Amino acid sequence: MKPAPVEYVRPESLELALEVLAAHGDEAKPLAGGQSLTPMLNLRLARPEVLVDVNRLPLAGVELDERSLTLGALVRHRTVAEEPRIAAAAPLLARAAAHVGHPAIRNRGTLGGSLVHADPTAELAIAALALEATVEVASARGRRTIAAGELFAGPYTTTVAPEELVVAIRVPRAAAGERCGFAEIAQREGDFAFAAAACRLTVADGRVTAASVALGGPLATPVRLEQVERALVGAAADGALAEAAAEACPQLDARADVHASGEFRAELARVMIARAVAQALEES
Amino acid sequence: MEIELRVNGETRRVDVEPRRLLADVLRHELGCYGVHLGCEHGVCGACTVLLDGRAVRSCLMLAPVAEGAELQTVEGLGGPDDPHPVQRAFAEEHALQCGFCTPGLVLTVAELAARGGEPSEQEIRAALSGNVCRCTGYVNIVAAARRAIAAGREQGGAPAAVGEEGR
Amino acid sequence: MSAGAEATAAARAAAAAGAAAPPADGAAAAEAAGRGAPLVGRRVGRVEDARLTTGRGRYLDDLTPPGTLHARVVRSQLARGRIASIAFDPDAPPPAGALLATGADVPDGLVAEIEHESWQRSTQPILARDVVRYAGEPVAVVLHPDPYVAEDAAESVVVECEEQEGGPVIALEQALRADAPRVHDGWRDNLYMRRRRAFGDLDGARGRATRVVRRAYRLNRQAGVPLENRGALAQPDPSRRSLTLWSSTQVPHLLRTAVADRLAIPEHSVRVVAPDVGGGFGVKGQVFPEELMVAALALRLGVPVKWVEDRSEHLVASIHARDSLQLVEAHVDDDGRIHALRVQLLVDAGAYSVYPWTAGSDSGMAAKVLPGPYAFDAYEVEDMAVATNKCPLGTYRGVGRPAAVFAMERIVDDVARELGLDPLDVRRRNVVRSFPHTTPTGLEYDPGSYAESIERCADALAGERERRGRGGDGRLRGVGFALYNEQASHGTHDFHTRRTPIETGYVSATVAMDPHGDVTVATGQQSHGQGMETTLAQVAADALGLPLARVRVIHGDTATSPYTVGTWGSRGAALGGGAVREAAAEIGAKLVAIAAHHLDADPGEIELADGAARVRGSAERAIAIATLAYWANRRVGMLPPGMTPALHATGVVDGPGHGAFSNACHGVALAVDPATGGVEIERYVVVEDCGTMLNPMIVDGQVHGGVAQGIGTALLEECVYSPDGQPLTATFMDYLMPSSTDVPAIEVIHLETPSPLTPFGAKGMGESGAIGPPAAIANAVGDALGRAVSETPLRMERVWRAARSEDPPDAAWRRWSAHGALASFWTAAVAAGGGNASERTAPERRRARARRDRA
Repeated sequence: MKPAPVEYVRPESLELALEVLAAHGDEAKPLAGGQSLTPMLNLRLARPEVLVDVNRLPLAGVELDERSLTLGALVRHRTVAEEPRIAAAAPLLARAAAHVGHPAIRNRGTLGGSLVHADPTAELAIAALALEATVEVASARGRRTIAAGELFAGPYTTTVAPEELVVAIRVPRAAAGERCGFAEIAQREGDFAFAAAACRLTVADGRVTAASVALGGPLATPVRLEQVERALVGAAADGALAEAAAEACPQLDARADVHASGEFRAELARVMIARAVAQALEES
Repeated sequence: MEIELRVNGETRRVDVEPRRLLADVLRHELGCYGVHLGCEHGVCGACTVLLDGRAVRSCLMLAPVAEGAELQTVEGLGGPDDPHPVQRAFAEEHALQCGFCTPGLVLTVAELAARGGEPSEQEIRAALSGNVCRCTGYVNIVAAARRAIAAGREQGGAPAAVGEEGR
Repeated sequence: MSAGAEATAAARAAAAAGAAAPPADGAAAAEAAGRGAPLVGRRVGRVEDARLTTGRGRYLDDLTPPGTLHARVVRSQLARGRIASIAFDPDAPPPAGALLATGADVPDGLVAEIEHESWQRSTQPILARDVVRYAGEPVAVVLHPDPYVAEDAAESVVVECEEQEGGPVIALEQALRADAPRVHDGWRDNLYMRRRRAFGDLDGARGRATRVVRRAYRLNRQAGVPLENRGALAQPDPSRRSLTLWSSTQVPHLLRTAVADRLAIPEHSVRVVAPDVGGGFGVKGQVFPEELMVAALALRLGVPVKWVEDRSEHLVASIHARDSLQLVEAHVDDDGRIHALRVQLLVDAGAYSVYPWTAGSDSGMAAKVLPGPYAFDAYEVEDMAVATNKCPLGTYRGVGRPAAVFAMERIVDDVARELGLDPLDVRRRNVVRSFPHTTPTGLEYDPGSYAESIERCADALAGERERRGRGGDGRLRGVGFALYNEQASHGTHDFHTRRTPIETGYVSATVAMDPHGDVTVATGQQSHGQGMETTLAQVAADALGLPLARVRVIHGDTATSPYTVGTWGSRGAALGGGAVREAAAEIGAKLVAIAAHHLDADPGEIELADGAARVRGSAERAIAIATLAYWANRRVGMLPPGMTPALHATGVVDGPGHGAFSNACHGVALAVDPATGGVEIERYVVVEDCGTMLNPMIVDGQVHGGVAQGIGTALLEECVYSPDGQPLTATFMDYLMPSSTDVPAIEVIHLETPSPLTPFGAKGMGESGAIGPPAAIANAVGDALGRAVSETPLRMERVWRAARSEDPPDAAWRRWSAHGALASFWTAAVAAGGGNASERTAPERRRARARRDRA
């Protein structure tokens, strides 16, 4: 299975890349890590006219300030998983990245690429939601910022326009007393998850004061679960919390495929929510 | 388009359509038939090569994207008369049968051994989980990886730098 | 972590250390050879590894002669339809240089039949002509000098194909219905074959039984999936009078005969060469339409034609495997002794009977071997091979044995559960203990260690057996076993009884010694991972007193090797080694005779060792083998009077009529997460006995690999179709292969009961690792859940649902046995026994009533 004929450009600068995207619109696809796009090219499920290789653009920075961590779109999953500054500033992101695929995938796949590919099971997308990340996109007409909650429109579909390129992702640094958990389940390690849950909890005086819970896998996009968050805030941070979180999960109209029915995915979602919350509680 | 690839320490120039997979260019244009294709959708790992010392799936890379990087195939690691310690470890542990997954696994283990440390059996298995072997059941491959990691430690191999950006 | 889990983790760590077998002693072996110690039986490092670890192997896709046209097959989108037309789209024409060929351009297809009154014939076309019978079936082929462009051009082919009335026949249940559309026009039903046989005194046996247990078991459809896809390259000679066909095949000679037959050319004008082959596992032991296609087109066009499938094509259109349903009725007494077994065994064999093993291969074999290691003699079996509009089924590691063992080992555990007995005690009560033993179906077992293997396996898992139940981590732990034997190295007689197109069970090899005293072994077998370049060299080296490095094994080339059936059926070492030894011995005798003549000694005093022929006990009275070889080839005057010059010989070994029977007991300890259905294998123990081992290192490797495949069958691998026959598992995203995190450290304990029937006493075991795991794992999951599970693969959702199901244990049996096509086998039984899951038989009810009346 070989790709269909396609043109290839490797612009030397971001400006030139944006010009190409503006000129071709949805007939052009940016190519970064290629771990999601190339299989689709090989299977001929994706047939753009032009591939825009952005790998050499200077978009791989890791910057920390007092309040946030900013990662260039080309930061590889492996770096997100292993770079100590990232693990310290945004442990949830690092933990999620360690779950992506297999080592060789993590060596090439990029944070920006994963978010824009918008696989409903993507670990980094789920973590980005739970972290209330913001995504900076650039086009020939300028830049704008998209909140993670506004990024995912449907399966493999985002609100990033065809002529736009993701350039950076910003996440708030973990606050004092904040713990996180990430739990995922698939048939085999490294497979697309049936369900994956990310949670951030702030605990003070034995009670949850803030909570953020995101779920991916069963639905068309990763989602924040406000009902679960409401059930968590104010509750005692004890052994009953994980179950309470799972029970607060709403009914999910979960998708079915060859691997799992909707009913089973929905059930696993509840189990993963409980496990992510339990994991967060175990942190001190 | 004309592209220049650095393969096993040599600069090679080829003229190929941009859609050509790196795996196919390595094999049919550059004679590196040790790169194998088992699935062409990035799951089996038989096509694994090292790019700047990191294991990558050459079936998921269009050839032009690899320009500028140092590529290493299994041939570049060692030959029948001068096998690399990882290659020797595989032979010593009977970690191969039909040999089709072997080049990809040898390079994956080479990267793992270069990282150093003392990974547990579970960590070794996780590191190999992106390479499918149909013949061996992995038992001897894990043993070969352990042997290669120990040999790397003895030679004082430094862990590969993390945090390399861009390429 | 609970104490139980901790203990298991510790045991696992110890097991992992123990499972790490001693490494290959290549250097030591070389030395030892120098000192005369035999190589056979040693962990000799493999000759193949120098090239395979360094990327210097050459597989089919690595070969591309100048002028090659690459073939891209166009495949049916429909599961069942009539072809109206095939052509390039005039509105979207292909790139220049593309050629299109269809069924009209290639010969007729393949027929493979079993001689049986019920058999219905199918012809598997090379390229479909009028009708398509499964989604993925080859209907046309596009040729182009560039493989990428061939794929582009194939998109330009339009196949006008209409669905046939009634739609495709997909589900087994549907295929069996009397009103189902016929997969093959003119057939009376959708059965390739249906056969019912009864052995022993069934009525008497049933009379002695006090309980009846009825269950249904299912091994779902899967694929074999060697890591190297199939491929073939045909190159005609310039005069187009002969042809070389390279193919990633296990059966070069069988392929050569089929090419000659289908293309109607003399067999001596065809040469088949198997290059390095990246795994076969039986999948590459069929003859495929695409192989014949490239041969036919190459001859016609006068250029090399090359076809390499991609992974989706392999998963959809090579062969599929397993896909069997077993309905079992066990007549037992309260002690768990089996008195009689009645089995209805179905295999969904897909759209065509593949060549040469036929659609009846799995079902026939399963029916024949099902009683396995147990000593009951009343057995009734009905086996059926069913046609559906899906990929044809073919031979894959184990063939019918995994289904047979699944049925037998699951019913043993289910009987135990019904009677409140330990499943190991049920095995002990029924296992064959004295040899030779003749089964109800007439197989004769040579001696084995069946009973001992139970004990060794149980001991190895004694700790885990004690720690069953719910652990501190919330998971449920269970232990399960599978005891079985495996018919291997079966000879011509066995194939004769199958009435297959080929009666053949022999292996040939030629051995030649050149003027330098080096040896070439040409085996008709084809090594694709089993290390024959090493094991057969060990045999020849030992027979001729030479170091390993002086022997070279060549294989896979019909031009250089004697006719042989190929490599399958677990016979490579046992029979292949035997053929080499026979030929080498002939040469060795000649060397000894020449040496005796010159050393003025009796041949009985001469031994071959360390590269020389020497009078035993003497250091000086010796002649180098190289010298003897030179004389025999080039200085004929030095030979004893009357001796024929040259040093080459052929050995042919036919397997024993019933084969030789290796045996094994698999034991698995695992944890089930009841919240998710996740199964984690914590320990996997194999106690195996394959008789004499030529190279224990290679035997271990075969066991590990087989078990990993069995774990795939048990937990992960499934080929799924939509109701309208579309394959849903066409990539590795959907077809899940076991990875290094799915397969545990496998512990292997060897017993060695040499066979009196084979050279060396070796029995053959290449397949066996794959046979036990589905049963052992299903038994362990059932043990963990306290509820039987009876269908593979035991994916998470299946386990999760089984844990919550309240269906009675015989629900599946009831549903299936009521099917119109199957019921007649059960109706009489149900009337006699009442039809409940497990209950007392009519005679026992009468006795119970009589006791009540007396009281």
